[in-house]
Amino acid sequence: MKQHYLWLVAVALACLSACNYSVGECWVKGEGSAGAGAGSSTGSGYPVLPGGGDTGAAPPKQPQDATPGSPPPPICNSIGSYDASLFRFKTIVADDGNGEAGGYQAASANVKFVDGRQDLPVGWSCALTVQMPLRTKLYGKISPDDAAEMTADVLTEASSFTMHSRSSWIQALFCIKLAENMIPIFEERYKGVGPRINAR
Amino acid sequence: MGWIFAGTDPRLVLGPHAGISWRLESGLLFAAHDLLGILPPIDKGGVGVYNQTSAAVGYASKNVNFSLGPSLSIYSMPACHKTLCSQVVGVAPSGHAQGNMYFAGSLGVSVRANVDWIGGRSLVLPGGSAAMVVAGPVLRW
Repeated sequence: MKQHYLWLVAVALACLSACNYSVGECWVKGEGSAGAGAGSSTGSGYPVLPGGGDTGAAPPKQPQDATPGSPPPPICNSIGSYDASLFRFKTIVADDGNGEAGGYQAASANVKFVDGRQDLPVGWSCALTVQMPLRTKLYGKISPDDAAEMTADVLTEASSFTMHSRSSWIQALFCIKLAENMIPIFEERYKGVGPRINAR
Repeated sequence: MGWIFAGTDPRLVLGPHAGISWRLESGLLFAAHDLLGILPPIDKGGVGVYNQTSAAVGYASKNVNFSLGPSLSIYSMPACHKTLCSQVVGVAPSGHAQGNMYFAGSLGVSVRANVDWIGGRSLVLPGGSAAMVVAGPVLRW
């Protein structure tokens, strides 16, 4: 009987929460309609949030890097995601093998954002530095690739959450909040890793 | 026929609306409705579909009745934020109010308004509300 009540509560909660997602490609308002003029009124940048990142080598394509003559379609199937290749972790403190955790590795990336919710899309970047152990009790040895995967995963979630927590942002505040928001998401998804995160 | 305000632009909605109601001697009214709306395409988007199922309680006299209650909407429609548009698919809980007035036997006019709680992962409709107002002829039997 108790299980039946739990099911009822679950169904009621499901009915009380709104959910949606975008299907297919986005388009800039006015495109494809008669008399839409030049189409995009948003300048060279597409209103995508967040953008990718740039570590200096093989950077992901940026919406604002699009050439005026052949703009790529805006990404809108999801808020956007970051690739692990952004983060190249290097050992900064070797693991001496003692204790439950040891060593330290770090990666830095310049992560770009574009807020397309504004009348004119606003872009900025955060210099993000992530440090985490080379070995933890729960995960054992954390390879640079594993560390990059974790960081990209957490950054994707935190950037969406942070961006949508306010209707508009100034760069400095966004970067600080982004770093703050990454910590609990790390703890929730990768318990015990305990990274140090700085963004400015 | 009506208008839905979801995103930044009002959109025309056309479609049937069916309901069944039970009126007690005291005038208390229980009703269930289903409203199917078709939204004409905009820009590069396709046709939109919006379906709202609702339950309601209200009051009915001989020629007039009024009811309100919760609803659940399922939609797939092109919608726009300030600069960006996309086809958005989602589910939205909502509330509605409806009034019917019969002036020629079983023929009358119906006006319905509802507010949906819109939100989710869509970039163009990440959060907020949508309002819809629909009016048209109503037939009872």
